[in-house]
Amino acid sequence: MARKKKKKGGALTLILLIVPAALIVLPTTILFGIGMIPTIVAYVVDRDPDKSAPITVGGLNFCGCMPFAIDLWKHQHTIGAAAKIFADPLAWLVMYSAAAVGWGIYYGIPPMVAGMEVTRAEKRVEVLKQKKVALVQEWGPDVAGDYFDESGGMEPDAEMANA
Amino acid sequence: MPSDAQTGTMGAATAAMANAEPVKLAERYEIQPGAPIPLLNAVGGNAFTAKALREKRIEPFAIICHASVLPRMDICSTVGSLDNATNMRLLDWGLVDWPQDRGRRFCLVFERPGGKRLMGSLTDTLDPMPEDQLTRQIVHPLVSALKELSSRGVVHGAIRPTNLFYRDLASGTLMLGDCVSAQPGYGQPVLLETIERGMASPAGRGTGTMADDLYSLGVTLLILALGRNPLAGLDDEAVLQAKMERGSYPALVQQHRLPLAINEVVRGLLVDDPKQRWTLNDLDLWVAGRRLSPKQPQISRRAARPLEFQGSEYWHCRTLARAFARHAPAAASVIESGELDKWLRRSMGDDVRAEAVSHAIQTASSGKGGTQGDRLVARVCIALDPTAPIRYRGRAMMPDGIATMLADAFLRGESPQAVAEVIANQLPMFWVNVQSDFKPEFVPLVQTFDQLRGFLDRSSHGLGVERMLYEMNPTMPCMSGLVVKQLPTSPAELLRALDWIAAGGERHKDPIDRHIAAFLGARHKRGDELLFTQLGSGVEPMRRIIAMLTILSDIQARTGVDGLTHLASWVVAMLDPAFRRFHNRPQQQEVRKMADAAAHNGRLTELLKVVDDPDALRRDRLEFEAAQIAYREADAEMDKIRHTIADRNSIIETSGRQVAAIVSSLLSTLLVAGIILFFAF
Repeated sequence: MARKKKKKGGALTLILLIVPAALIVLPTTILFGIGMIPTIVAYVVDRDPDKSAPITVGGLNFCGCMPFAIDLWKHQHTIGAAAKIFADPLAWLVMYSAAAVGWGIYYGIPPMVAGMEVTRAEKRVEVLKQKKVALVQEWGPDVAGDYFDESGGMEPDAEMANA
Repeated sequence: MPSDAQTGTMGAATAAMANAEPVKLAERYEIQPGAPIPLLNAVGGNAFTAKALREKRIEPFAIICHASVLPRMDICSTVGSLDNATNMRLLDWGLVDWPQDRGRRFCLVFERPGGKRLMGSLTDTLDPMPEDQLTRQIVHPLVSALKELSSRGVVHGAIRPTNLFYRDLASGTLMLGDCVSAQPGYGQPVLLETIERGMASPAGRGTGTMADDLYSLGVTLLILALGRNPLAGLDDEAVLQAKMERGSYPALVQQHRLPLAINEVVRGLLVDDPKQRWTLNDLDLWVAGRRLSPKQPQISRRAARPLEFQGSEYWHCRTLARAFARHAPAAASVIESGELDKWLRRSMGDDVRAEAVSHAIQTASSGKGGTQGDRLVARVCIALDPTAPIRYRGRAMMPDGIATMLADAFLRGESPQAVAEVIANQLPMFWVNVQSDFKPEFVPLVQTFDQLRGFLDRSSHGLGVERMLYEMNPTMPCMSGLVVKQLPTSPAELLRALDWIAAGGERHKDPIDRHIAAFLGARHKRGDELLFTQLGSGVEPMRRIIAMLTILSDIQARTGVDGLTHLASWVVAMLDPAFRRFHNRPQQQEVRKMADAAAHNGRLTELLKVVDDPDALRRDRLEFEAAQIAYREADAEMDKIRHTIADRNSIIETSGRQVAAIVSSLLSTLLVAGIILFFAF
């Protein structure tokens, strides 16, 4: 209950701070609001609680919007200038291509990571297998047993077959 | 019955011996296996030509004891030290390698008599010896010889005309033959034994007493005085029957007329009651010229009416007891019906005997082994005839002959069961209890048999009838099938014999069997008896072989027998379970190498230290447990990894996405920085 209250309080603070700021820099807000639609979409469609898709897409999408925002800040920080930017197809191409690269990373890197991780695990399994074989060679098959056999182990030849 | 002077034909075995190399007895005497002397053969073994290697003046001959006869090695040193010309001089004794059976035999080296045997056989006839010759040639020397034997506590047990030899051809003096190649009375014909000893089996007559020797001397004198055996036509059974019914003197002398003086001494020596029989002192007095009043033969009590048994009539307790012993099942029914009790009380009028029989019947149910009938008849026979031998399941033995009877059974490969049951059923104790005359020697006898019964009660290795055999017969060699050819008589010799066997490659059995365990238990008293309990077939092989090695190494350490390389190798070949106690394979190999090295040196103690090192075993155990844990951890980790990589999508969803976000974030940061820098400059 307290956590819910804190969350509500945080959102309220955010609205109270960001909304006025967004209104003050409205051309920039419009630029990022339209330019980062792929990120907003990613946020909406990603069911992962960690929200890795908006993070992945958003970073590059932000980079795609950044040159136009600087251009806006350097020349005329007006709604018209912002509209002029959106009239240019290259601006759309840059902003949305950056977002596409983000999506590319989002879909391309995880399988690569999984492949690398499996390979690494398989190598580890191999090492562990060799360790077990070495233990059996040194101590006999009884080393795999659950009890300490007082009477002694098996014939030395049998251990390799078991291992 | 074995006989002296066996002039056997040259058999195949003898022919094989003809070319055999001479064998040496301790580098002192050389025996020629190819040169037998049949005329000097003894009951216990055959005679062979021998040569003294050191003292050339002596002309010896050797008796090689038969494998089935136990010589009296315990008295060899006493007999060897006798300083009396009447006894055949025992020069040396020991074990020799005998080519005939590729094993060892007991060997007795005697001074060779110059003349022949006085009588080749009891069936021979010779000129009756006149009184003075008998006195001079027989009585005088034999009395002095017996006095010396008596002073040393030795019973000769083989006084008979066929065991007297002419010392030399010229003087005509006689010498008494060997008494060590066989147990006392073993080779004695029934004629020359007392009634009681005559009833016993040859091997069960026991050591006896000087009185028994004097009885034999009496019969010997009678035979020589008559020039023949007075009962030559009768078999042993008939001789015994005649002695029992009429008494020894009347039965043997019959109507023959003996010289007066000789008749007196024969009558005195042939008294059946040992207390009434002439002693050495009486003989000494007689030799000195004093004449003693003749002893009247005692007639045993005769019943008013006979007891009919198995179609015969019995008037005396002794003859009835003898018949009972022969027909035990029929006797049991006569005893149980009360017929015997009635006969004893009414016809015999002997209430004391009847009470003894009644006590025998009451106590017959106690004891182990054999049937109730056998136990009953054995006890009743003892009660009926207390001085007779113990008769049980067809065997008859005096209480002091049980040991040799048991030894004889083992030497002949017969079952010792009946003899063992005699002790298990406490028959010697009952025999002692029914004796009318208490003798001090009965006390240790009873104690000994009580202790022996304890061995019989337990059947584990080192105990049982085998242990009883070696406890009762201190000179008995080990009868284990492994070493019997080597006749080891001490633990040290046993170790050497085992090493010899191992050298021949016979390693298919354990080096310690029941006989060897019992032999060591009896001869090596300082050993740990508990170790023997671990030698049974039900014990884990590893513990068994370690126990064997511990016993053998202890004996080697105490006896100082070195160089047992073959025995050590034999043990090493069996030590596989002990090696496998070490879980660490490299250490196992190391221990095997060390064991082989110890075996090569022939040191069993060193070998034991290698395979039964408690510190090394504890260390191995701890390390093995650590290895088990490491194995289990590796196993668990492998399972976990396999489980993880089995779900590839999960990796993509979790770490894959995280990595993508990180990569994207890093790239974005770099790009933002680049863009800012680009627009700033």
